[in-house]
Amino acid sequence: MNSDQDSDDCDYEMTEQRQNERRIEQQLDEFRNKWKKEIQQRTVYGHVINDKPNEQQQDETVNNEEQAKHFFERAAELEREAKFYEAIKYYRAAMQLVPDIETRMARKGQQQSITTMDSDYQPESADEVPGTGDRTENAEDLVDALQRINVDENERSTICTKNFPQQATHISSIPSEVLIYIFRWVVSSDLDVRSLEQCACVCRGFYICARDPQLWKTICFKTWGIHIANASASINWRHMFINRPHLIFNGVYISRTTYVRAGEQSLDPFYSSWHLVEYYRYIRFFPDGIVLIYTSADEPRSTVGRLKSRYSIRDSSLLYGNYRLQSNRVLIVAKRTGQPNTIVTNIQRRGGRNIPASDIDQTMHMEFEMCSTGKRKHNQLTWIHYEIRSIDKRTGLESSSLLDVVDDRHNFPPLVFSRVKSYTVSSEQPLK
Amino acid sequence: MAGNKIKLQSNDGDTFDVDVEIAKQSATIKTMLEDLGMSEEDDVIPLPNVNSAILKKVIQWATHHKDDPPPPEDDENREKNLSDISSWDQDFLKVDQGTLFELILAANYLDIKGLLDVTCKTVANMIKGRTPEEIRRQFNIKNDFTPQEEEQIKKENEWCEEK
Repeated sequence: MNSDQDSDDCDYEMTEQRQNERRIEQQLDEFRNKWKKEIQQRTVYGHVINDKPNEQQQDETVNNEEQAKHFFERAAELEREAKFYEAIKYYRAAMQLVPDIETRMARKGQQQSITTMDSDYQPESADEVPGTGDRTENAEDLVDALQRINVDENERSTICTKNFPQQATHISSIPSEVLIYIFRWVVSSDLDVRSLEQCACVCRGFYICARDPQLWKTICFKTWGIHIANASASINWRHMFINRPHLIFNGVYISRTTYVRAGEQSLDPFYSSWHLVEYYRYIRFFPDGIVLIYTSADEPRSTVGRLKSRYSIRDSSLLYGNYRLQSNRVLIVAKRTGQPNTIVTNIQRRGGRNIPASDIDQTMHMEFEMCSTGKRKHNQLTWIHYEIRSIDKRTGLESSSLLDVVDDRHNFPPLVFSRVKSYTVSSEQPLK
Repeated sequence: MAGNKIKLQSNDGDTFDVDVEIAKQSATIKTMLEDLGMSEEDDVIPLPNVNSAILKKVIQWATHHKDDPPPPEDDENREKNLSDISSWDQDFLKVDQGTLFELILAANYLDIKGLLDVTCKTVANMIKGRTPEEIRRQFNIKNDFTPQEEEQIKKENEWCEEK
């Protein structure tokens, strides 16, 4: 059942993210071709005389399983190398061919210590067998397993047990649906998914509640909107959330830029001063489509505080705007915020008249690509497009300037995500 | 109707006289009165899941919030004004953990949304931003994972770790 669910998920994701995954697809194809050659050679040596149709069919299923096995082993290899994204692709490819590949592999893993059929892969499997045999087991299996344990072990089915005896009412008396509701407050309208993942590590009961599919479904809806997927399809929402490009809300994206500026003309002809100017760009996203942008020479330490609340809009040094996601891109339209009491709805009307000594109304149009660095997913924003459109309020003259953000990496370095603990200390609204 | 009172009985036998309108903040009691046609004057409503100390607290909370406007359904605009736990609620919830959980259980059983929200939010804020070990210590929870399970969960959660 679980594998079905996963392959559904897979189909869906494949079509959705084909563009992003072309590279991986290519790798897969290469691998497939290489493997096919291998298999062909084997059939030549192994089954030359064999031409009964029945047998051939059997061969095909055997081939499928072989191929799936190869994918699976390659995936395990990648996983060990911490290339999780690629690993998942291989796991999925393996599961598409043979849905229950995992159980087969697990069974095989036990046998393999005896047989020496697969000399190529023997060392790895041997590596994997001691202790960590269930490392490749996927999330659902653990949820199921723990659920079973929970039901088996204690009929009362409490969510956790006391570490030390205590008289007062313990958290274990809370029914699981209420704990899940508490988790909705933990995640909160700020989508503090990290805290939810921390809860999953507390104990078995917490783990089961923190993996509640409805919870993750709401998280996905909040992230991409309710049109993200056919609601009836069985989707692993948590996997979707992790793998699909999305913004991270519990911190800011920061980039640092430096440039050299000529200093004051000195009286000494042999000495002229230069300044190394350093400044930062900060972008803070909120789950409801609001974004704050701040450019300043101030160090992150002294800056992140002013980006804590979306109501920082009163801060006139900030750019305030809206964003939307388009597959792996994020599109921002932002304006400089004006004097106090400016609220979201009159941004259009307000125009540039609040900007001191200027009748020019500027809007910034930015586009970024969400990239992953190392193990961390989607934690980097790479500039794709930056255009400043200005309208002179008096003359009605429009102009636009396009900045060369793609080639000028020095002035437009990628922004890297950095978590800010103070953004998630308290919950305002439950997730819903 | 306005001045009508009903009797609520806790599981340890104490009876409390409560204004019907206050008691009706509990959807459970409201349903009992309205749908099941229980008469208000003479009947005592037994609440087998609530002890008298907690019932007293719940009535105290409901009395203070009796004039609250009904919570708007899924309204985005209410974000700002309801975002903070009122200072009265904060004082009200300065209780030990045991009492807090009993209040959650009572609010859940009596179906008092406002009280459930404010108590769950309090617990959530005790959880947010903490490490698993801190959460365990906070609530006296036993780590019942096997080393293998722990290893696997660590792997599953790797995506959101710092480094």
